Amino acid sequence: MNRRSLLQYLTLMPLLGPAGLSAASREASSPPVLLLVELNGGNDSLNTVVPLEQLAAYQHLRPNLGLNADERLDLDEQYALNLAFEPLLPVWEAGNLALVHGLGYPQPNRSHFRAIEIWDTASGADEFRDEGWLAAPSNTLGSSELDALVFGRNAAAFAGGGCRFLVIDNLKSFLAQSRNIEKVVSDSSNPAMRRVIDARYRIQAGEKLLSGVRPAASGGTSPYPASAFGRQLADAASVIRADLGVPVLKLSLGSFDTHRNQKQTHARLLRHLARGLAALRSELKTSGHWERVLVVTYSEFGRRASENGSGGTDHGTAATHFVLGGRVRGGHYGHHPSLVELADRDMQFTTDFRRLYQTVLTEWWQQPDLRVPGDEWETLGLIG
Amino acid sequence: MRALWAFSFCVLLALAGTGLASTAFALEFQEARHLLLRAGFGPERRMVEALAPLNRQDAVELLLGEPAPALAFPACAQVPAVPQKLRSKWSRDERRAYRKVQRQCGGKLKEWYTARLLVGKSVLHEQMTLFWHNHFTSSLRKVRDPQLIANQHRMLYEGALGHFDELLLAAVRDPALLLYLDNVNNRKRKPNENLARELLELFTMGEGHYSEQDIRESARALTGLAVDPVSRATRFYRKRHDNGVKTIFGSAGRYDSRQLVDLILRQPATAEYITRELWLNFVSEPDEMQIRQLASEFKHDWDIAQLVRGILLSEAFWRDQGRMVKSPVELVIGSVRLFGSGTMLSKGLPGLLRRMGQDLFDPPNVKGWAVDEWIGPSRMLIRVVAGERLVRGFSDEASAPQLAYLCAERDMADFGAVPSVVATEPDSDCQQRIEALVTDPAWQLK
Repeated sequence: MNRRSLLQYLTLMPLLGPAGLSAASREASSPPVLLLVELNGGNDSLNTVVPLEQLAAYQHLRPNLGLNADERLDLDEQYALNLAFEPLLPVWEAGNLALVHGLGYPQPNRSHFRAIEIWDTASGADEFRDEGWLAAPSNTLGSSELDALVFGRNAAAFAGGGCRFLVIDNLKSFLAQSRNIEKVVSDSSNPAMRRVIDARYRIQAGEKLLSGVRPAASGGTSPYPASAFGRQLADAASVIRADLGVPVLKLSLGSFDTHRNQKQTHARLLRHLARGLAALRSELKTSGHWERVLVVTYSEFGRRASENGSGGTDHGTAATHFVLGGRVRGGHYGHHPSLVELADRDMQFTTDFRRLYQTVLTEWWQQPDLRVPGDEWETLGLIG
Repeated sequence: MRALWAFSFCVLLALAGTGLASTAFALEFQEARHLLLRAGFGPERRMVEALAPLNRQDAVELLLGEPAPALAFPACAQVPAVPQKLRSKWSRDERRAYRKVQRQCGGKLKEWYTARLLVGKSVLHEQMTLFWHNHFTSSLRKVRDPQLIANQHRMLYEGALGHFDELLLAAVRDPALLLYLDNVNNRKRKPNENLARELLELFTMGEGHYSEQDIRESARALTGLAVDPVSRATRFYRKRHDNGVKTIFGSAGRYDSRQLVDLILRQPATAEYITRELWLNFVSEPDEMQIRQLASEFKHDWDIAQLVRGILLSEAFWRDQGRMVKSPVELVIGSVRLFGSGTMLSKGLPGLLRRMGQDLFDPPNVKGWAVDEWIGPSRMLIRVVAGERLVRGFSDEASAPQLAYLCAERDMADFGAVPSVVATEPDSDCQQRIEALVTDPAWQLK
């Protein structure tokens, strides 16, 4: 037997492994899943969720870019969504969509790089942390070879600790390429060699774990948007349904960096997001996994309260984000920032984003001992 | 003065004792390989042959003294960008077409760079240019002007082994850097602290050696230093400059950018920070005593070549074989330089390097490429797959002497920095042995 066929033999193993367990016992041993969606580039919160109680101020700030009545979807007296979010209306009506308003932190940073680092590491504006906020929690919760699976870009939320994460474009290409990585067993006193072996081990572990998951079919009859993001969401649904014991999955969608001619681009992205998440919900409801998944969106910053001169918006601060899942208590959390009392022309945050993180740790994962750094963050009470 | 320092440095080296014996003799193959993996792009035949008869000191001198040929950028990167004022009168389609041309030119510049790295003997000079490229970062993506990025590259190339005080001043006044770090918007009463912060944090002193007030006041010193919209050259706008008294590192004065650079150079943290960065570029672990020692010499004349010489002749450097991870450039360029390959035209190389995390002229942020993540699991996959692709076309174009060098004169595994982890099958041919080597974990190390 040569090395390659040995490896192929090894990749058959996981099919034999979990198949021995009943679906129920596998589910019981799998931790609940967090599906993080990064809106890369800085999502314009004010054109995603419109605070109707401040409509006059809103229209004053955004005479051209502001959403008109026929471009909005009223949720209640207080808030309207961008019409592009219509596919998610059934989630709101089912009481499984929470809107957390005014998320941010003191002395907001408006640089893409630094701001996303702040969100990924749960840092304050002047704190520099090396460890992602999910590195330790996902490692604590992970019950298989992988603690986190990242689709596409930016794994900073998992880096710097003992978290065994894997970054892939999509399942199909990963499984095709990783078959070429030969199994290496070696113990070395050379730290650089250990890192190389570890990375290869993680690829192999990922392949072993994921090789039983059927990659999503692309195009055709798929209810997911026909795009890399749609395909990744479909892959994520397949991974969740396989109950592999991977507690965190992450995707990103972008670019939301809409400095010019924003309206159409932004609506297209939001529609994409809403259609994808609606398809995910419907698949996971059917499979019985919707109660075991928490979807959370985040972004490096919201955008400037007022429109700019090129039909877009510049970098800003506070933003509303979305939390959805079968156990989410739908509704509004926190208060929308004032559109009149601005600081440096931007909204002032009302809810520290680290409270949302602590809510995930304490309420979703039931791990009160895991603390988001910086303070005693009060949870939001959004899990039923 | 410089001679005196060079002299005392030699005395120090002699005192190091253990280093003395091995520096006197001609290099072993594995020593030449080590030096070339760290200070060049790997053990290709002609470089190994040039170093073989030399001892360590002469080998380092040879690499330091190799003349650096003049740069000839692609034609599109030699013309100034059309001023914004003119472009704003264009139609939307014209503006869009122009942006496309500029983006394509950026792509050509990246191809030009990788093609250049594949040839030439001034390997240490190119390595040092890459080091400064990753230190004084800018990006095509933000600056959106290939000519300014090319000019910045020339500035870094020409100063790569020169004097740090001059290089720092040139960098602070570089148009691409002023655009990249928003100093073009840094005006009296409306200061932008971006350049000031990165200047202290990443370019000179390192975190923890200055206060927030130092940053605010440094930003004031940098006001008015911007880029002329028509000539695209650096221009000092006197009216935008804050001429008031600033207090920086505890001393007060009506400082401008040049005086700020002088103040920074006088801070002990600066020489130590740069020495440490450069040390860690060549050696896997810091050696605090050596770094302090080298820094105390460096701060007298800021001679970069002398600092590099000190690091490359240290015992710590020679003991460090195989304990660092190759950058994507070292992995890919080094492989092509050693094996040659018809399948890897320079056109495909920038994209490959980008996927490995080293997008030339486009680092992800001001901190530069994520050096710690070269071999994260996502990158490892592409590094191994690329290695296989690389050797696929090997046998078609390999020349007889090349085959002899790789597969007859030496054991293939000798070309790795450490012994191979996976044993090769005994009856494999030259190409199979190359494939086994480039997919072995050992090939990732230098």
